[in-house]
Amino acid sequence: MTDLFSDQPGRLYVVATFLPLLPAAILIILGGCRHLSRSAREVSQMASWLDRRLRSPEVDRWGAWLSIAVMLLIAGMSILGMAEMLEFSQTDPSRAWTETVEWIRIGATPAGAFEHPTEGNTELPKVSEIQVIAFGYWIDRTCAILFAMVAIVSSMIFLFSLGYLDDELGLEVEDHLGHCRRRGRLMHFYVVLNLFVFAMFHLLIAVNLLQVFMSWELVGVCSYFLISFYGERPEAGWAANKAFIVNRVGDAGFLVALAMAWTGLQTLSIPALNGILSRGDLSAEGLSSTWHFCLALGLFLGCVGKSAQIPLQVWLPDAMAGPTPVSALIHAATMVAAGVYLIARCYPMFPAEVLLVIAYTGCFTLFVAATVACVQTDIKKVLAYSTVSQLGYMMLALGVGGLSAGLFHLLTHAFFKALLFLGAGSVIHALHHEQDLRAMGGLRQRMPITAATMLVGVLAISGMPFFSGWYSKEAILDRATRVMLNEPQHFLLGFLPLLTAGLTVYYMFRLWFLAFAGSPRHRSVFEQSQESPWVMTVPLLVLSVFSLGVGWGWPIWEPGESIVLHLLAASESLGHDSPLSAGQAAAWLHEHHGVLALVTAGIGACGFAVAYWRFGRGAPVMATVTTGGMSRFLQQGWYFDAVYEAGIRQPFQAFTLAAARFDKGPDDRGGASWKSVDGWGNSIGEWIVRSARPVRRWQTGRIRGYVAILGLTVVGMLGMLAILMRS
Amino acid sequence: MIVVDLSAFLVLSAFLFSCGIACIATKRNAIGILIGVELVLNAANLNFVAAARYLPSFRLEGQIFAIMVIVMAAAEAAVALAIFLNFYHTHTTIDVESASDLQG
Amino acid sequence: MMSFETVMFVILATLTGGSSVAVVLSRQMVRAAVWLLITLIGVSGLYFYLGAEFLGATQLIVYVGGTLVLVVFGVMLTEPGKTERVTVGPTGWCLAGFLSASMFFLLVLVMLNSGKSSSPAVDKATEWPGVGPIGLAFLGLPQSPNQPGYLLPFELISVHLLVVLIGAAYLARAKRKPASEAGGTVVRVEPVPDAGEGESL
Repeated sequence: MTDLFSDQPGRLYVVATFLPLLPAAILIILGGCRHLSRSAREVSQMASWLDRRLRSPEVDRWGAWLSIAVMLLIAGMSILGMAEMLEFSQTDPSRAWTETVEWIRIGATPAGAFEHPTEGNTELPKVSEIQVIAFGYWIDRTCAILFAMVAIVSSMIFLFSLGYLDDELGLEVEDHLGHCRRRGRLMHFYVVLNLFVFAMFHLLIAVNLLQVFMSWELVGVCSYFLISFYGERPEAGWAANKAFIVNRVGDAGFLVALAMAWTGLQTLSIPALNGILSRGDLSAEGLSSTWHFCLALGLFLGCVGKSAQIPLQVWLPDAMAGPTPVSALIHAATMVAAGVYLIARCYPMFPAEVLLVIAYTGCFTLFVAATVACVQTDIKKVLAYSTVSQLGYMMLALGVGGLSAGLFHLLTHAFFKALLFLGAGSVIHALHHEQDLRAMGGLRQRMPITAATMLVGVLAISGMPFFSGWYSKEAILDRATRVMLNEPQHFLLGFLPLLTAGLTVYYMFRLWFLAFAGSPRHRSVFEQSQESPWVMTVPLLVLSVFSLGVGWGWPIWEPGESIVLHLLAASESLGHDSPLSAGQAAAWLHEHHGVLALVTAGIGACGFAVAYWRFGRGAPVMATVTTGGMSRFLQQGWYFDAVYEAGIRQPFQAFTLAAARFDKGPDDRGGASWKSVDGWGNSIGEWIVRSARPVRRWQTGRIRGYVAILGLTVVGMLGMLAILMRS
Repeated sequence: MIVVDLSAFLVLSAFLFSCGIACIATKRNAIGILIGVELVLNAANLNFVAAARYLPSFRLEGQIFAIMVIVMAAAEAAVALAIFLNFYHTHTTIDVESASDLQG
Repeated sequence: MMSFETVMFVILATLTGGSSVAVVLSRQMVRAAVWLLITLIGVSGLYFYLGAEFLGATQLIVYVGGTLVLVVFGVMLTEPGKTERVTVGPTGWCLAGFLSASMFFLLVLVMLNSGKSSSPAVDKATEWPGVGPIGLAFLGLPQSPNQPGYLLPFELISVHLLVVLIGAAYLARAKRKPASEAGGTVVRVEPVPDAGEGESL
């Protein structure tokens, strides 16, 4: 058995990828057994005993612990794998483990083999005529590190969910927002979560873009199921639909890119495409640079959808209708990072023009989302917009050539964003699903661990020195300001991130002060809060350790010396440096990098000061959100939703209603009018009936009439015969 | 001078035939229609036998055909009368104008 | 100069034609039946005149003695009520006259134009098939190398007669009257009024 792994260590990752399907399958079978016993429980005593046993909360708990255990095992495997991969790629950072299996082969049968099977026509087709789609894995350093990150974060979230969804253990759950009583659904949650984890791992190790697309869609589907977990609430259903549909808009671009790659280059394998397209000149294959631009843009469009960039960012805030662990895992740490990961994997495929587009998209996204986050009152919505903003940072980093910076930020963001979301979940759970910041306050007295770990997360995201977020943000801002100094026409690419850094500090500390500092604003809410059980606080503690220390290097005060950054940077030799960030100003900045640190620190301090002055001194009543124009503009998310609603959905719905009316007619009662397709059918039928009515009258039933007609006919025929015979 | 050859018989049978048609068309009694049908059949029979007489190659066939027509006519008359009796039993009238239930 | 045959023919033809006209014109069924009887006898006479003795005899026996008796029975059994008038109006007579006249005219035209020459005088003694040859033909004696006998039609009409017998006996069977306290009458269906254009949707 160890030979299996020692030859091909990558297979460990394949096992780790498929392992979550085991608890998923077990839980599905359990659900099936429950269903069967439910139908049979009236009939047989054994069945009713079995039903009672199967439906006990203990079984649910065992199922959850099984999933958690498997997840922890996978985390362990991935850390081992990462260690081995680091050793493997010490000399050459671009070395990777890869193995492929032929999945689909097109054009490999000898010509004419089907038409003339008996003739010995064994002439094989030329190699260039055979097209093969090969599935497999391709694991390099980046992949190993990120796999470990996803595994650790997922295992923590699995553990947390057991505590958060403890009310789903009961046989009867009362859903206040959904106005119903229903059975508990813990198993359903864990099944979909396991499936999601499988798809996410598969996305990480995939070698073929088609595999990536399959995982892409599968994570989208799992996201749909999990957002609509509280299915009886109307907003959950709407949010799930919105998430899936907006994602699909992006996937259209992805599909176009896939099709272009297949028809133009006959391959969908990422290493192969990287190799071919990084050459820059495709005239050998007869493809133009426009083609290259379109392909890369299509790929990027898929990432815009998945990673919630402008203009497709509208789904992420609404996706907060799902349970908080879902928001933590899917919409903060992993799924939304898939877009960034894809761009990083396929980095050599992107020409400089598309990288510029990516940079500007990220730049605008981070600014817009940060401004909207400043006025949100729901604790989860603040974090959602913060996620969008940080994803914009990652995209910006990738666009200006900071591949390792973007990936590093992805890593650190996963840890501290998951921490923040889980902390918010802890608060929400303790306050019995109260999510409005205006009703909180002073919670650090009752929930010290949550408050402390949330503070760690807030400091990390704010870029407090020595916290992990500082290292990654400094790396990004370094690149961005280089661009700004190098090419002054792209000054926005440097100015907006710096400004937004200040905004980030402001809104994150606003959140922390409103929730945990000061005196409580809502006595009853405050009274019923208490610190969460260990299943929820242990993940918080573990994640805060990572949020603090994952960025450290030696020396610790040098942001550029971070260990992980170096590990990720080494794989950058596969890609190419963006021309934006080279040049004279870059050299100057490199020498005086302390200047940048001071500037960012200053901006951060300003943000903190404003937040402290407004919220930190225990303002008892939060100023109700002003209804001024600017405030409303921000609250409505820069009116993106409104524009989509009025500009796309309503015209389309009007069109579909008109089409339905055209199809069925206004009242669908089977009337016969010429205004609808159904009406045409009915009208034709009615016309036939109407024209047949006079004909019916010919059948009088009177024998003498028939005889008369008969006689006349015979007379006519005889007349004709007479005429014919005469001539 | 009347020459009695085939055409004379043909004319006579045509006359009988048209009388039969007239009888069918002018009788409201179902039995009257049956009588008309008998006339028509007889006209046809006459045609057959006359042809047998005056056309040498038709000698036997004409008579045989005529015999078969007689048999058929008898059978048909029997069945028709059975139907009329049935009709009379249900409608208490033999008027064919009352037999107009099969209408559209 | 009228020969004997011609005179005979004229008498028989007049008899037949006249009585058939009388059939058409008579209003009462019994009289029509009687005139039909005369017509059939006339036709039988014509058969004898033509030399088909067997056929003439068959006509008398079957038609006159069988079918006509049946018709008379039918007439008697289905008497219309005293107040019922079953006659056809002037329209019917016009139509009938037109039909029969045109039919006669056209038939004569067609027949006379078919241009078959015939020999008026035929030797009666030689080659005229009588009863014997007819019987043998019906039993399957081949008439010529390509012409098998008429056994199949014979069998067919035998079966046909059997079927007709059974069918007629079944159709005209006496139906059981439903036992009812008040009168015990046969179910009567009211005569449907002359609704030539009934639209019963």
